[in-house]
Amino acid sequence: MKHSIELKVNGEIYEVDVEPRRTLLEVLRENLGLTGTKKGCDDGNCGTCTVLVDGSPMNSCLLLAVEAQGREIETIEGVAKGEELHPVQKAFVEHGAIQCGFCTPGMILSAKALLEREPHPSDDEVKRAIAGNLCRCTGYAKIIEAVRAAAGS
Amino acid sequence: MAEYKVVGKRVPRTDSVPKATGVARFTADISLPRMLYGKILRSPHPHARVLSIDTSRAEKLPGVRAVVTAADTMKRKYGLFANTRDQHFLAVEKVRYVGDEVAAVAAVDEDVAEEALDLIRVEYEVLPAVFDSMEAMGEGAPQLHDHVEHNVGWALELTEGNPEEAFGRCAHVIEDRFFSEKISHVPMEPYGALASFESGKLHIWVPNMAPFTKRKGLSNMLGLPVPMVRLHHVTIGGAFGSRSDTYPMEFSAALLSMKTGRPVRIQCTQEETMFVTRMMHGAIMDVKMGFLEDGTLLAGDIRFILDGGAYLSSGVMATNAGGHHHSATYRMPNFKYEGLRVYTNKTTCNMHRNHPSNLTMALEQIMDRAAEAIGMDPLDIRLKNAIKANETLANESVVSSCGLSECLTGAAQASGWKAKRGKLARGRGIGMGCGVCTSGFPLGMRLGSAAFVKLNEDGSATVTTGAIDNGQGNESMMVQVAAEELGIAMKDIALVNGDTELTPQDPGTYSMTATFVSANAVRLAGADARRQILQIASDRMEVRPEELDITDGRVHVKEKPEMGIPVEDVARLSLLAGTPVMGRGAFMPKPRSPKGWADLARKKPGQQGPTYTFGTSVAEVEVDEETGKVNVLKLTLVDDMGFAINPMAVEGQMEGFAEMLLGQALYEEHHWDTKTGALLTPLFDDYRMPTALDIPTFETHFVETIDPDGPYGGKDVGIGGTGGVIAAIVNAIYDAVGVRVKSLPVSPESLLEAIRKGEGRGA
Repeated sequence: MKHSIELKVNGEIYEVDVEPRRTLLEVLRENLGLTGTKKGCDDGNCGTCTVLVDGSPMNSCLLLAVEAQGREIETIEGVAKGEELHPVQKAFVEHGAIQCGFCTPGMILSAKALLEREPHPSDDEVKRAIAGNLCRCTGYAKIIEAVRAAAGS
Repeated sequence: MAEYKVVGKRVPRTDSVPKATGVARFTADISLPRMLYGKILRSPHPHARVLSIDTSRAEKLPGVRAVVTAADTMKRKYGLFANTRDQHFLAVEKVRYVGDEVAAVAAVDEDVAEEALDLIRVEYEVLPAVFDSMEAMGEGAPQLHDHVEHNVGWALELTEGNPEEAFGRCAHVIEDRFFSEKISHVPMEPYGALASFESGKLHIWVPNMAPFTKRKGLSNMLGLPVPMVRLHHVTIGGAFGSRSDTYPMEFSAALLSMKTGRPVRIQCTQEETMFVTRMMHGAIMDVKMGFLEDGTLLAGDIRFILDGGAYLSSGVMATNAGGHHHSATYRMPNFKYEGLRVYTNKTTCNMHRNHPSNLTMALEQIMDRAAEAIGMDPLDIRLKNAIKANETLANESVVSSCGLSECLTGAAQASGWKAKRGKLARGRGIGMGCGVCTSGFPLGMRLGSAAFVKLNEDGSATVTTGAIDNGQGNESMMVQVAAEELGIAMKDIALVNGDTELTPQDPGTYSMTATFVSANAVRLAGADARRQILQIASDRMEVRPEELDITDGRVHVKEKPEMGIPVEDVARLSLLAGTPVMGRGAFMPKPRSPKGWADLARKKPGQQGPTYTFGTSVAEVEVDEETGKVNVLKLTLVDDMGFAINPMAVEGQMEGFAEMLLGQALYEEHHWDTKTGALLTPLFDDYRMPTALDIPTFETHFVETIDPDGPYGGKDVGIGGTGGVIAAIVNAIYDAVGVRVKSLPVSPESLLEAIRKGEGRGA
């Protein structure tokens, strides 16, 4: 049986009918068309589906959509303000922190949450904040550099 | 060195804003109206005869729209070359590994498709299976393919000079046996395909490394004429070699779409991607090398046994690369190589980004052991034997540019080699390793690339190339190169690429051809458009074309920059005259070897690749002697990629490859249940890859050798030069604790055991 729920995503309210077993990841991608959130391992191990829930990074594949009711959800589509990139996005672009781009949305959201919590993180804090986001392309160095640069801006 | 305006500069990649904002569309992000969802029924047995398949119950399940089996196919076999075809995309008589495709279902949603799979009845006659390459070659072993005795699907033997006589003259002959486990490429994007058959034409969206090769594979397998198959451009979430084959997933999606008349998506899970796409070969490596007392390498003898899995795939290239790349780092006048690519009842292996770095690890350790026996510095023995530009290799290939010696000295200097080697505190060590790779293989008519550059009415341009981007930055590079030639800004250039219907042919990203081949074609197309622009401006301004230049979108007199006209005006003039600016360019590498190109499929010797890239890596490690854990503190990477078109992207390629090799050195390995044939490590909890916490400090430098044929002198980067990282790590482990690594990965358990056994320094 489907449940009628209200999700608040990137400041907008969406009314959707979902089966209780559907994850937030599936509902974001399939019901709301927000495909910027990526489906990787679907098992909580790769971080590509990271979204912010009340400001905290979470694997949206591990959260049921019905559990996300009444909470502020932020996806990669809500990070830039119109054409203006968020400082973390800008730093990722300028520092070559993006290669294939599949980990990027999750990585950016983990970094954004860190900087909101700790505006001047050390290298070690940056590494810990993105340790749950796997990247196979970059060797992480330029991502760490980008997060540090965003912190300085 | 020539002065450039756009190339050679650190520029943000053109594809990065769409990727940073979630706009970039990967295969799984594309949906079509009336789309169905496909699932594949896979073999639960590692080796079995398929006696019968009954799909009737599945077909009756509400929501199921089609079921396909081999009966719906032409029963053709797939293979990379005409003489290496061995794989049915839906099982015809046999299944050869756990995961082999048997049937496929299309339904209104994934749940129904999944349920339908359970209703398909397959009767199997289970056959004995073999999981070990040595056993597979032995007498009486189960035979996977009827036409291949002893399961050796591909063998390459090379003999250059007189190895036997040469070993007899050597003061030091060092030999050993090494092992490495199978590993996975693991692009972060799981595999998947979307197919839509409309009015006789098949449209495909799929992560790929060469759209034109995939188009031909599908055309052959489905019996459709080449122009009736269209590969569409799509953003691709990594490849590293794993996406070079045509796969049963796009084939099955296509069949289902042809049967239903509706679009069909088959999306693999990450777990499925791990065991049904491709892996890197596990290997047994017997390496013997002989040296004169002064450190001169006189002879090499390599036996490389590759555990290949169920089908051949690009195992041909992997087998060949073992021999051809490992006689291209150091001069080896007497060289014997035997590569054996063995079928086993496991996941198929193919080319991996490393070419092949497990063998590099073995060879580079022997270099260190020789240096120790002779009493030389490992740096000096490498410098003494390093290949140089214009040398002819033992395999008849000619090396057009080579900065290996400069990479060695550069890496030694940047890492503080002389001050640290053998002088660090116990538990700390430093080691080096070199890597090499060709830019591309001899691929016959598929090796060339062509491009168009057209000028739009506002002075902007559109570049059309078949080049594909798996994440390396190729798309941005094509725009950067066109901007250099045209004298207009990168933001004013649109790109059309990686679509078989819209673009000219391109070799794809097999072993580093995007810079050397594809960017060269774009450069030539840009130069052609530039020539046309200058001619039109010349007629207008009454100044000879040679006296003109283009800067910031304006054609001007070189000596009098204030005298000029905007490119936009040139564009309008060209349209008015009925001679719109349309540049075209094509590049086909030429073999430098007098013997011409090698023929990989027929084992004919000759030039093995258009050009060669080199590099040296130095690792500094810390070994915890209580736990056996290795911590890599710093990696110094110095690569010869000819010319760095975008230094920021080049650094990213080198560092990303180093990360992958670090994983292979210390963490990554696959295991099988030898009773059931099931892969035990398909999930990320069991298959451990490096995270941000495992990453050392990188120091990344370039040696720009300006290749005579490369665009602006550029070769390629991302495979070859950095390939010595594993060797650097294991040589550093020896420097730290005196243990020689024979097997990858170096787990804490294995290292601790070696230290305890007294193999360690001072133990």
